[in-house]
Amino acid sequence: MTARLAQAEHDPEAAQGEDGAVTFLVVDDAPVDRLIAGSIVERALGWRAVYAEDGRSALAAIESEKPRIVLTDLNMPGMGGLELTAAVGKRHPLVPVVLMTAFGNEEVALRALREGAASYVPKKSLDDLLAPTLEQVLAVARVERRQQRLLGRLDVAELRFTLDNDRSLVPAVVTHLQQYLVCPGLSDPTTKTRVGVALEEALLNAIYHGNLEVSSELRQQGEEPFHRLADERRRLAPYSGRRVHVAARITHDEASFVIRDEGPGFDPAALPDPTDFANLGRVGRRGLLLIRTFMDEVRYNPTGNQITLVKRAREEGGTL
Amino acid sequence: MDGYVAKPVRPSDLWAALAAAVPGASAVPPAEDEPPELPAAPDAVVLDGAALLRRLGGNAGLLARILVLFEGDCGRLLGEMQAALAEGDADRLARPAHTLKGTLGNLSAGASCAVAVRLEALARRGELAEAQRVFPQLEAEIGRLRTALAALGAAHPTSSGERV
Repeated sequence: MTARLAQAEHDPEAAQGEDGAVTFLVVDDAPVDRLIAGSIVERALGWRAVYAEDGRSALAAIESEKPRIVLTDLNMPGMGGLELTAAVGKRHPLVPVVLMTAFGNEEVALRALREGAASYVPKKSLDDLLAPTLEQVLAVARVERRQQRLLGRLDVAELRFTLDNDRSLVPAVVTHLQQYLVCPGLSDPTTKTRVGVALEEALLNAIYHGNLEVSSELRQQGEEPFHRLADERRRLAPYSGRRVHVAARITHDEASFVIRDEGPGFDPAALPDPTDFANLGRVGRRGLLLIRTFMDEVRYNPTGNQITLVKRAREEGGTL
Repeated sequence: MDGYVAKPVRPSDLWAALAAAVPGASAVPPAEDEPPELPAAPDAVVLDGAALLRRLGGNAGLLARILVLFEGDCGRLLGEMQAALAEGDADRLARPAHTLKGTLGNLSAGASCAVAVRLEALARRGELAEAQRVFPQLEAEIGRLRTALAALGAAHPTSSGERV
């Protein structure tokens, strides 16, 4: 009991048992293995173990027991550790998953990390690594949880980026902007994903079709000539000096993104019907279709080098 | 980064993934990789009772629960393996062999674990004839393990206040 008191959990957000211990879920189809893993952590950290024997019962246990962290075996009948990791990532993004890998199974561990697992521990190293790993992962998750709470109190986020024509930064910008979609009508995973896809398409359009002036007709001849020309122009004036300017403003009611390139633009009036693909050659057909579908409002400036994307908070989500 | 021990097939990939997964982690593997894991030597001990007790924090009550769980689980897994062998189904043999291997490793039962490792490898390669020959060895080793576990349990009765 002394260990438990000494390491009592002081985080007010923690889902705790009656004695103040952090609850964690151990998922393993082998009863001996899950009891041993659970008892190692209970003893070392003073946490409280709850158990499940496969992925499906684990998901039920997460609902009922509200564990702060999940420790799972990989290889289980029914829903295994990889599927469980993906499912928890979707339904309970703030609950980290740590995997126990069987003796010599690091390739699967790597796949699990790609599915969103926070860490893994080889089963033969449970004695030494299990408790420190869980403790460390929970500490990181706690910071994330606090950040989520803080973002939940966000009134306005205004961000500006200036990008060169390197597409490799685009996903980072998109992910960064997505994290501010926290108000109820904007924060559901589908909306976040859709806004992310629209932003990515708009940013790529600004780089390739705006600044580098590489047409999507060229792309229809194949990816290779398209990217070869884009790579050449990235280093060639006047293309190389052009930038993409991103301005985001996110409130409780809506998220708006203004993306401006420094290319020659085009005449938006030449787009009598935005869904008439015949008119959209240089803008990127698939990209614009996705943007139009996923955003609530899409506008161009008169010179055609700036696009404004607006996503409004859904009514049923309760705008504040 | 202390939290990881890895024997990566592609070290750079694995460490990059770890670094991405855990803030503050190094993307560079440690200077010394763990030696490749070998099946336990043929003369591996039936049961390392001291290691098992350490793993259980010297808790006799926990040991007693583990023994009961193992009895049930081990009988079930051996039965599944026997059925898979009878039907010549290598895929169905591999899973219980894998699960048993993990449990035996957790019990510090080196000798039987080594046989289970071998049996799982044979099942995954579809070498059923050889698996048929190895299975009785597994049963024999499990028999010795049961005896050793029973002796360990008897030496650490729960009535004397849970602690060994």
